[in-house]
Amino acid sequence: MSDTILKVESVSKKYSRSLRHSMLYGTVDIARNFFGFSHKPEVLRKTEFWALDNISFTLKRGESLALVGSNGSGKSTMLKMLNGIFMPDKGRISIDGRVAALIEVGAGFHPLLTGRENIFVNGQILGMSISEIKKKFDEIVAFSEIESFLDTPVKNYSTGMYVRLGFSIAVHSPSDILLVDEVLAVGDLSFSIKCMKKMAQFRENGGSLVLVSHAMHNVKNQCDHAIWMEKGVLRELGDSVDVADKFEQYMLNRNADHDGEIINVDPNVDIISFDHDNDIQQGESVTFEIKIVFKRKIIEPIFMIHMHSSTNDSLLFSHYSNCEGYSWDSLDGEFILKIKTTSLNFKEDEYPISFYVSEKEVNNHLLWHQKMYILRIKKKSDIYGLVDVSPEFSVHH
Amino acid sequence: MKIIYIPKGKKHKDNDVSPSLLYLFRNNYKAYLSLVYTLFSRDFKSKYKQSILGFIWVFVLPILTTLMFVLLNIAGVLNFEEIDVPYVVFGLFGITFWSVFSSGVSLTSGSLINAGSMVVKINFPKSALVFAASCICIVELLIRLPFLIILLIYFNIDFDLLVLIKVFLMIIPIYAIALAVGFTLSICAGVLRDIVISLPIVVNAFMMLTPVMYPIQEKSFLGQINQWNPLNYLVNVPRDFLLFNKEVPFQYYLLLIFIPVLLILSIRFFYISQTKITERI
Repeated sequence: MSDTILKVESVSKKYSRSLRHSMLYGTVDIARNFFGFSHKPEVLRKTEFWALDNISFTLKRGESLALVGSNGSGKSTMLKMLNGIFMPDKGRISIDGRVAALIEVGAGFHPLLTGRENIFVNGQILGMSISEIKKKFDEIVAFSEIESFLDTPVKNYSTGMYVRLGFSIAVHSPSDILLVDEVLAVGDLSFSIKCMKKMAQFRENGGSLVLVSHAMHNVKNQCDHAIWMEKGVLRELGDSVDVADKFEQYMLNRNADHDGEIINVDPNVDIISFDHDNDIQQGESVTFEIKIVFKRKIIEPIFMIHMHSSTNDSLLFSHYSNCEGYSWDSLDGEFILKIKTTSLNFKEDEYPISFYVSEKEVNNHLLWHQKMYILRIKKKSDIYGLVDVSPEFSVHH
Repeated sequence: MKIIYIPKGKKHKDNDVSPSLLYLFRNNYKAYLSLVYTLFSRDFKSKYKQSILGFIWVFVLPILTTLMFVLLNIAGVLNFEEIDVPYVVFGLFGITFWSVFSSGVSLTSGSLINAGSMVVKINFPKSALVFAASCICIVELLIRLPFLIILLIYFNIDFDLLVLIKVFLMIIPIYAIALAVGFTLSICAGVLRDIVISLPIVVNAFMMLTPVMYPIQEKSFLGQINQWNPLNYLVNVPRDFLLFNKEVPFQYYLLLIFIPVLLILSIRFFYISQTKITERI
């Protein structure tokens, strides 16, 4: 048995910025593959970009590795490729062992089925056999602390119970490598500590760990090595403490540049991730995908998004979900909020983005992320001034 | 076991890119079948879990459809005089055979996109979702079977066990074509959501076009069209064989050659395309 359990060699992955092009390319690629022609994965087509570009690293048995980077850096894409959900467009990934992944806790749970039924369903989807599940059933239940709710449909579970059960099933599936994507962010502190202990125990038994996390203390405590990626490119690879320190410094500098500020007025409201296309071109629209968790039921939530000028405090746009005609009676649990803009014809620059959540009234803020995110707009043509209005000139006599 | 991921797909050995269903069966067929059963059982239980009538819905829908056509007959819109058996028997057998196709296609086509985040976040054999969805229409058929046999006895229609077995073997090609269409459409629906939106209308249109609920004159315009409609043979040949003791036409045997080829091609298409679709769901 080789000492190296995971080898990533010059791996690249491309995405398309445009949904229309993505659908078109998908159809063309499938047709070409079906008829035995190569779809030239190494070539970029219109609106495509490298979400991951030429990434290489190895992981030895029993070692742990953290993937760090700001939102949109390609960490989750890398994790999905390590798990075999997506294939690389260039390079190769070799894995010498069984993989278990916690990319989204509870994916595959059916809300109408009980916790007991979901343990069997989810366990099998994650690759466990019925006999393996039966053998580990008591351990799974004990770890998740849901004994008294075992025969209750999971739709009646709290977010915490849901997460505990999902984590427990995944972490008990026999594996040589465990891939974990920021799932601990949604659990409470005591459960997070319990999960950390379980992962440490997994490593003591010879397991390897790949962890995606924004929490640098977890990276430093849990991992031997770390990789820092920015915009799909490997920026640092080395000792986890060194890499985490450098990344923290980078984030502090970046936020300082843009006066970033986070105020969590209500601890029951949190943003798990805030994603959008890395770079867009002038004239393209952008879709923000914000993964939010409400640990209590929020009545009539209002979402607000602002884009600021890069040079001063002026607002380039400011939109409120209720003013745009979008309203919800209440929301709770984990969900993804998508906000799609029309085409943005601003000049090339980096624009700070703010995002806020309120309840019932705009001024009743629950969460305040002021200038915490950056949208980069790339140049398509030279424009002077802030906005390209593409005027049509004509002469009339 | 060493696994290698390259742009072409998943390799299990250094020289073997093996995206086939056969690979799964060769290596771990027990685990695969168990997963299909678990997914089927999850979907089947949850389908009827929040309904008052529960499994009774399996009977209600075909009976209501048949009653609707009986009413159309009474109203003089449709004329079923030339049928030698009571219309209820004719209609219920037709709609039961048709349901294997229509439910099979509807359930399997949406199976990938309905699984949503599970497909994008967990690595598991996606084909199990399609098979599991297709099992629902077979189980619903098995639930309806005793009711149909009681109906034959009640109306004094002659049949023997051998004929009955042959007829129910004739359901396999209907299931197979539904599965082939399902494998293909489940992939296409990942790219073009229009398929899922338009499918109920298209399936209903095919049902009206195919003589499922009404007899047809071979020389009529619709009869001429249906000579080229494989679903016409797949639904009517078993029904005619059971109720009217008619011979099996040669077109049916041609279909028995064509359908396995179609199924193999559709499974191949599914395996080649599944990772491309996962990126787009």
